[in-house]
Amino acid sequence: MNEDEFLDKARKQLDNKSDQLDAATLSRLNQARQAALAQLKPQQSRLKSRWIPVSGLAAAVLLTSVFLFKSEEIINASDPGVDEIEILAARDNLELYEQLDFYLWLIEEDSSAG
Amino acid sequence: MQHDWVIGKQPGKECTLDKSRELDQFLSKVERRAFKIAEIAVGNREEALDIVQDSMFGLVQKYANRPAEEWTPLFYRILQSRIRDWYRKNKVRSRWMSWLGLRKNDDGDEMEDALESLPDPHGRDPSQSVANEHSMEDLELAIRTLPGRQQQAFLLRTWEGLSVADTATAMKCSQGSVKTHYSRAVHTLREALEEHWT
Repeated sequence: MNEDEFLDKARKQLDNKSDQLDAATLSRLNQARQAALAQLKPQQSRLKSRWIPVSGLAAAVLLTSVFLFKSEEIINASDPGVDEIEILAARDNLELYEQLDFYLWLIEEDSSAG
Repeated sequence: MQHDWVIGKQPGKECTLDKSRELDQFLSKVERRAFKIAEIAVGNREEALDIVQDSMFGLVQKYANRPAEEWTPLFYRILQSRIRDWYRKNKVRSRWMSWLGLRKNDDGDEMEDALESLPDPHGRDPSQSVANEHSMEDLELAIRTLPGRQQQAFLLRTWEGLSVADTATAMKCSQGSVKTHYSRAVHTLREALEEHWT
């Protein structure tokens, strides 16, 4: 048996040994491989998972600040501002203000006729 | 949809999902041989599995972004490094056990350091192994009796099919050393096995 034949036989024997690994060992190798590959994470999801709690908290703080600021502004608003809100809230009054020119003209006509 | 992937400990270095699949295929291809190489080296299934897992982690962590053709020598370099670590750890353990008087052989003498003389953890020599085991087991047992560097050179060159240059990379030594270790390994194994194989 020359060296090449010897090495070829050795290679085949080693291949046979690795092909005959038991299921438990193969399973462990598979688990090891998956665990190693799990180190590779999608950038997007890593960023998302890291930033969701931070951005959520920041948004909550911002909304609370705006709400408190606006509440104070509304409470402290001057009368015309409150009047404007009442006008806007009352649909009939709104129509009256929309046609105010017409009513003023009617009043003028009545006065001049009288 | 294709995502961008990053390596956990190397921010900024990206590899694609295809890279992940490529790594999966590569590791699937080498894991059995790597396990057998580690098992032959340390003589223990559990330790061998740990060594292979550490090597897989090392490759993915450090070299996932390197070209795929570089993975084989790099992976075996990590594997051989883990095997050497295992021997160093055992050497320290042996020294302490010996110092504490807990590790003696049958004659009451201190046991020889496994790292230096290597590697059969069961204390067999090639002729004894060959005489006692079936042909299928002969080679593995004979390889276990080789000094560690010869064992590495033989398995990486003959079984894994690495070039002399890649084997030198994996073994962290010169190509000349690889040739010497390999030549001695083949010579020893042929002497031990050829008679039984013909």
